[in-house]
Amino acid sequence: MSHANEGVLHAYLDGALDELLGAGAQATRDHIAGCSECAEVLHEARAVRANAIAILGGTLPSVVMPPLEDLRARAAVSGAPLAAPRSRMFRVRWAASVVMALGAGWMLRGDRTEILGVMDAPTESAVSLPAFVVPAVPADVESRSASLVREATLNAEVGLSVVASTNLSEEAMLQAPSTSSALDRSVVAAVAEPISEEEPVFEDVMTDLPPRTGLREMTADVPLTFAAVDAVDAKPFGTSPPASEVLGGALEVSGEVSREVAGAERELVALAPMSTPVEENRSVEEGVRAQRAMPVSSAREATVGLALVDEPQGQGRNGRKRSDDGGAFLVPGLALISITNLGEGVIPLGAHVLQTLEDGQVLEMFHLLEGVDPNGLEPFPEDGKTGVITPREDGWLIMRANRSVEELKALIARLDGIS
Amino acid sequence: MSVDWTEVYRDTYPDLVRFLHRKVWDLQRAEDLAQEAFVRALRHEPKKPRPWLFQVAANLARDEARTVIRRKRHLTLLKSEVEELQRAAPDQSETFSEKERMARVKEALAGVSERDRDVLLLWDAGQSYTEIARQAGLAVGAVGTTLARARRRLAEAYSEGEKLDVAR
Repeated sequence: MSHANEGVLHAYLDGALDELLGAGAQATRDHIAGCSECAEVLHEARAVRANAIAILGGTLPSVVMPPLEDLRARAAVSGAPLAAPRSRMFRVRWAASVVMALGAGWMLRGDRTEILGVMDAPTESAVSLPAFVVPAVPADVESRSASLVREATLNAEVGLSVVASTNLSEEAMLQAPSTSSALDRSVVAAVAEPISEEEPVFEDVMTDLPPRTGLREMTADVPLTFAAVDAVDAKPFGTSPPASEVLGGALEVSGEVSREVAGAERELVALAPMSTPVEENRSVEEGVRAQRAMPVSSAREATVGLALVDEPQGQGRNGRKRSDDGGAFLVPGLALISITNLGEGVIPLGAHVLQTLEDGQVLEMFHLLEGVDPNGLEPFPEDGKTGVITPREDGWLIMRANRSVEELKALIARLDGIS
Repeated sequence: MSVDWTEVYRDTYPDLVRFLHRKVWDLQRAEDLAQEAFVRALRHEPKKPRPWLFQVAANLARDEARTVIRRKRHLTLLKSEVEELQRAAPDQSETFSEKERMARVKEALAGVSERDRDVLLLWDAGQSYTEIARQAGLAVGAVGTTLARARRRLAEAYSEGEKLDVAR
């Protein structure tokens, strides 16, 4: 009989010889037992195997098993398979006044201050927060949304703004919010898309969670009412889930989130099951999402969340405030007027920053996150400002002010700490 | 024959978590994914739950890995959380050492080819040769050879990592 090869010897050591060789296993065992040559190789194989076991064994986590009944309860929830909510790209109106050469721009990415486009300089003077254009919602969706709003007995005085068309996983529907102080001020709307198992679970949402988003900000600075579930383990969050949990996928939730913005104004985001009143705990097959966001009137309030988020990283060495991604978003030496998150529902799109230039003019910047299409911005007002757009490591920067292009370039260089 | 899920759960869950842990290198995520795999199994009721669970878990881990790569740049723990973690750590040097060790194992595993690594981790999670063969798309006869190669490569890569650390 020929000698046992290394694979057979490992199977022998693993007690898998029968699986490997079937009826021939016993003969091989006998051979190994009486063969000095095989014994030598076996000795070596034993050492290799033991070494591998020791290496892997050292990383064994101690596992706490949740009750099987919990998993049964989750499995028992009927409904569609898991799917990811999709962040959508807005492809609507592009400001006719913005001249861009995006294709060429990507070829010039190495230079952070390369200006890809220059915007026209119209005449009026105004600093206004641009809104991302809400895509048209099909009539049946609006109808269903309206019905839901009534069903959910939400406060009718709040104007609805249907902003999302996102499917929530069935896990996200496991628990509708029970009671919430925020609920009476919030709204519900929108639609569920067909759910497909092919889509990785909330991949998109997790990808799009940046440091300066509304959700993160809200988790960071105020107690939240999060009658929601983690889409992975369907665990109720309770109040104020830690940001890491949110970043771990909790965006795929049903429930509602609210935040005091300034005085009587509130920014409210509501997520709720489609076919059930939000006061009741029921599982449903479709999810809905809506938002009612009121404008931020207080710069101080508006910066609270951002400041908190950035504090761990602190100021850059020359006093520049930096985002978590390493990109500067405040021009050093200029007074801050406000920082406002841009987003669609709870899907973050970037930040809008206003600073005061030395002569009292306003410098306006839009930091758009990677993956966000600048075409989603509504046309800028004709306010006489010059605008430039440039790619950044983490997305796009649009800068506008009553300055020449060269002066804006200098400001971007200053933003980057180059000058 | 109906499946005794209590037994399957008891016998498989810890192995599944360990298997996943070495794929996602985050215990919490490994547990989440293992639970997700079980939830799906309970819903689908496969005839052979154990290999089914490992297959689903491997797919989930693959999705997870893609996601982690994409979201990595966005992850920042809040200050309070960092402080909390630091408070919770009983011994900084011990924690560091354990982390270092885990990083070395992770690195060593990365030095093993994907298929060999999968076979090794499946075996380590208690899968039989037959189950490993089915899942890895190998002939049963090739499992031993693959395991032998994977083990040797893992040990070599781990040893190389140690040498590099000493050199530093």
